[in-house]
Amino acid sequence: MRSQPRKAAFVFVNQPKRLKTCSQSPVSHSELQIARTIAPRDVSNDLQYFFTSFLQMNILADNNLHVELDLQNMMHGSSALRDAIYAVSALHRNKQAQFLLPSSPDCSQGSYFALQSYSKSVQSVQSLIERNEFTRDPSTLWSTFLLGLFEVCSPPSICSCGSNGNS
Amino acid sequence: MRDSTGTNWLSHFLHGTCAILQLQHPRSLTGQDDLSTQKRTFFLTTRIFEISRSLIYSEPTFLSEPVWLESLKKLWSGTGASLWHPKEALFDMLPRISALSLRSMRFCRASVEMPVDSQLAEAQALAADGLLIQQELVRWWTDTADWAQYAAGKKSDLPNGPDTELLIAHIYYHAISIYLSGTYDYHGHWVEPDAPRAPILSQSQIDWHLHEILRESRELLSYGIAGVFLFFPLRVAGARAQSLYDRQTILSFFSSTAHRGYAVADAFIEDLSDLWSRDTDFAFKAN
Repeated sequence: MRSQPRKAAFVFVNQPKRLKTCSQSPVSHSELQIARTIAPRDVSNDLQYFFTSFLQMNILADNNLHVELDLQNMMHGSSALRDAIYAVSALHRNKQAQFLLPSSPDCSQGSYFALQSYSKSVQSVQSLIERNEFTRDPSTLWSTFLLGLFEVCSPPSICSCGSNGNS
Repeated sequence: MRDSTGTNWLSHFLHGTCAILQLQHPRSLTGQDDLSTQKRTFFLTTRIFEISRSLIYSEPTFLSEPVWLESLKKLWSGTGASLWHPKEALFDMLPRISALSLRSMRFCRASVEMPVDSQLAEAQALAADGLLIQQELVRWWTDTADWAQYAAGKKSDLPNGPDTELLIAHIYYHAISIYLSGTYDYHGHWVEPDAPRAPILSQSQIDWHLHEILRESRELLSYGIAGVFLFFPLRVAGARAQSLYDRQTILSFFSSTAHRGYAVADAFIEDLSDLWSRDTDFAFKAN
């Protein structure tokens, strides 16, 4: 096993195509409209939803106890993890709302926020990789796992789950 | 398997996580500081996804490397003894079965250019290795039944919910038993007359494992288990399901998982529907 972490030379999680387009070309009128109409989001709701609803519907380990405690402890010091939690939570809440209230006007805003949080988390993790600071911190493991979970919870059009430059 | 876009979604699912996990030193599994404890919790919670990726896509996994296998042995005999559960013992075995399956696949591809006596020798060696692992699996099953009785007796005075860890272990036992048989029973080297004896299950044994997968999937979904745990067992069951009822049941479980948020479950539905449509005796169209 390697004694030193190798310098990462790959992007291991793609940025979603939609947000990539936003950053590379002038923002469209419709995108500006969405941005203007989005009220600041109360992320405490997303946080609460993640621990009280999402994890209860997605048990990962026996009683989830250690997982929940670790995540709660780690997220205070990790913006990557917090944003990954917001992303998964917002996406899941949105999906449940769409399922129960298909005509709800909040769905597009929920999707936007989920993607925004996902993108922020990806950028944070990428930054840690580029600074070779990702191996020390276990929160990075959970961040990348939740980002992966976000992708398998998203329809193919939202996130690019294709090749990413590394086999 | 591939989804409708041709993308190996599951292979990508943990790509980032496994890339970083691989860069951790295996000794972090046995450390006693807070960081090691947190890394250990993550490892034990998520390693099944790396193992499933390896099994489904027939790709190597770093978890079968000796350094990781040794580190796990050290964990269970030392600081991690209190964390041990029969599920962990089964998960310890799965990377070796994946590695055996890969060896078998490589042999099947290379055998066309091998002399007949070399083919037979290699087929016999692979069959012998498979039988040994099958014996380990059967021993695990009986030992776990004893453990479960003992554990139930100890917990009788305490309120307890279902042992979802045990249910997950059982469902993976049934899935890997079918998978191990499939390593051999799809290939002529082990099914032709006078072929070496291999860990091939009878149809009734496969049916039993399949129906246990379906029964336990229903139970685990009712307990709120994350749907991603069921993708590998249900995919294995789907490859062997012959009756319309069983196939519809499997699709309903995938649909349930999709409704709970895992959009990618639709890729499994499409994959199985395509598989079954190629079965001329049981043409099936997914809803």
